[in-house]
Amino acid sequence: MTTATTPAAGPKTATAQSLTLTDLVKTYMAKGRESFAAVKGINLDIAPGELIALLGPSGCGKTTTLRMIAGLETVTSGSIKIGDREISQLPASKRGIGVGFESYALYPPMSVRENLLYGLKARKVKGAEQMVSSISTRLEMDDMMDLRPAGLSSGQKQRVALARALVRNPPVLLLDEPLSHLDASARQRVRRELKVLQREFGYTTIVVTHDQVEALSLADRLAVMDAGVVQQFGTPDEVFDDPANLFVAQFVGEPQINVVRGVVRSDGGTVRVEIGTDAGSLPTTVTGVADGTEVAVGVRPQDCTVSAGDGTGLRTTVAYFEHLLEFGLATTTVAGVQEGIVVQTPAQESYEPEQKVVIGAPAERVYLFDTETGDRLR
Amino acid sequence: MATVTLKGLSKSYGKTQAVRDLSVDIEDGEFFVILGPSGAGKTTTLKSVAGLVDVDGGSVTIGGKDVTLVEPYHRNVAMAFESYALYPQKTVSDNLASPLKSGRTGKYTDAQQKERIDQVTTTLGINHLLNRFPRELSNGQRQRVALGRVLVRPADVYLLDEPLSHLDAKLRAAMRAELKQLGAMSKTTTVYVTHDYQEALALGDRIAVLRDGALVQIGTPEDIWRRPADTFVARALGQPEINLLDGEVEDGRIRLGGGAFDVPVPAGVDVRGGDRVRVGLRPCDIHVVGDQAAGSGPRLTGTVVLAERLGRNIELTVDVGGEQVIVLSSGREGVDEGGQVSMTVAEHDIHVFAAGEGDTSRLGADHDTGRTRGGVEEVETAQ
Repeated sequence: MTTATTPAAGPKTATAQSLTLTDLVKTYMAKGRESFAAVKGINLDIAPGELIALLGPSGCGKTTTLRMIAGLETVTSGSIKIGDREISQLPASKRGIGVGFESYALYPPMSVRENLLYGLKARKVKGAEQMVSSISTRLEMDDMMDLRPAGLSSGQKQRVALARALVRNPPVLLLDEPLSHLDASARQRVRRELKVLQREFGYTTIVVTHDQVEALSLADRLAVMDAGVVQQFGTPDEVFDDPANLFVAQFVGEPQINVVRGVVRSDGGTVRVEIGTDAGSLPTTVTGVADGTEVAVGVRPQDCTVSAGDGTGLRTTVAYFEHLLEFGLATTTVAGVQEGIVVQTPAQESYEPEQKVVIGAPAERVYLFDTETGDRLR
Repeated sequence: MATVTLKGLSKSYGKTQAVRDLSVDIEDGEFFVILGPSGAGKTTTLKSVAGLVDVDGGSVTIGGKDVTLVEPYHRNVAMAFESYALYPQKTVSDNLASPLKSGRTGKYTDAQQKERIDQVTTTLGINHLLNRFPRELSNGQRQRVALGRVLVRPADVYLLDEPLSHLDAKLRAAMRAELKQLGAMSKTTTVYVTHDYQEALALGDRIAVLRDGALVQIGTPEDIWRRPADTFVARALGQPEINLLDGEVEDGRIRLGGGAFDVPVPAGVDVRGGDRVRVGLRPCDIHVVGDQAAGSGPRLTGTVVLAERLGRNIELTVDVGGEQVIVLSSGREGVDEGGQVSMTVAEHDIHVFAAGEGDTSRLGADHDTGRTRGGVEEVETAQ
């Protein structure tokens, strides 16, 4: 049936389109109860062919946002546009969006082919067989078309679910936690595969995930959400290296960023931030904060350097040291500070509890935040 | 304070063989980790030591005494379950007191009970929770209480089943660091079950890797990391997973990617020209180098297919002679997608395994597998 001979020669989506969310709001109202704002005014401009991740903890509004785009949830206010077409009031079936859910939702008694055909036949789509053959060739899954879901590996099931979302060649693809059912090894493989496919076919894609490593590695840009609000929308590099606020800094990165109280000390040219009781300081490039201001200081374990002796920096005592072979993790304590500071150390180094070490960090990697609002100070 | 010896331990559930002929010697005071994926037989092994399953074959010895047929409460072991197993109708304080009140392992006065509970709750940072019920606790707090109930009573052996699995990443890292201190403090023989390789590397004095109920390798974290006994162990440790490439030996080198590049045969690996092998290279052991850098060690060149951020590191998918190789780079510099990169690998970071499908064993110098260990033991017993 298929006319395409090589997957690479298959038709590219001619129709990758932009997706624009403007002031999107979802408020749940129930009689006799307080209304609950799940999504509080989201604005996202997504370019044609871009892969975007919505990242956040459970309850942040990411899935509600996805469901509103898909048409599975009514919109309280605001607009959703594909290209120039307003779709927020259209029924789900008229939006031209492919959706892949967290559970693959495949019909167990049907073969892969029948699973892919089912939705098309139910809608009496013309040329359904042709469309299924074409997607199967493009995703290189011809050899599994006659198998039942039970006979597939988890990675293959994921592929079938993806094929079903893509079979109608939608301009926009939505994927809800697409990798969460895979074991660690398959997750890495399928993630890279998904990205390569997405690049090749150029679908505008939104992936919802709670896994920060997945979002960083998969997305062209990611929207970090909390409490129904986008906290930061940027490239993985921007989100990781230039967090907009304390929430983003703490949600992204593992081991988690260290956050301690500090006081800004600026004498003319150089600015440092003092931490603890007479324990020293870290450098910072922040210039817009007055001398003596109390701030929250964030520094990632991987950005800290450790030296023995008495270099300039933060004087600390090692409380625990773990050697993980790839690297070490030292948990250190600072006089007058309750939280420990975790430092990632090179594989060849080893430390002992009670050992005195001096912590340093590059000035541009020491982030300061407002102690009340958590906003980044610059 | 006791040694634990398992000899030829076997246990089946119906047709499923959960543990196969497992022999392990755990030293007095050792922190011993059992690592494996779900279904590997980790928990069954732990329950066999605790006496909570009737084993089909083999023996369990604690402190030199065969306890295979001894009731759990006479073994003087304390176990923490993954599912907490707290009494829902009792407060935290009463839950912690329950092992002290059982009377089977010594009597404690009220004052002694209070002192022991105080000590444990202070160490675990759960002082403020004493009057709460388990339903009023977060998962992390429940897990601490379950751990506290193990530590509150002196036992010969502590048995811990995935005690950190329900904690979030930050708490898990913090508890992991603390737990090692607790272990060192109490110097009690501890058997610790986990599927998390970082936990195993961080905590274990030695690690036993299980697969399908059988021992694959036993050794220090360093042994297991540097000299994985087979591709299963190699793949179980490290994220992203180790690269496994098919190759052929020729003139003291291993040709990979259909001859597009090669690496030297590491010292001590006994292979001959024409032999087919699999080469394991960890993503963190492949280093991206600038063109001018005079690198020692073998050099690979390839095209960057993907450059993805993985936290502080950048994960590169590099096409090297048609093989996809995963590499970790510390920064974005010189690793743009579509661009060329040069990489080096130190000779001692090259792992060579037998050719074949599925999991194949390491080639070369001796490594400490369960089988060789078991064999040595039998010889000793025979004498």
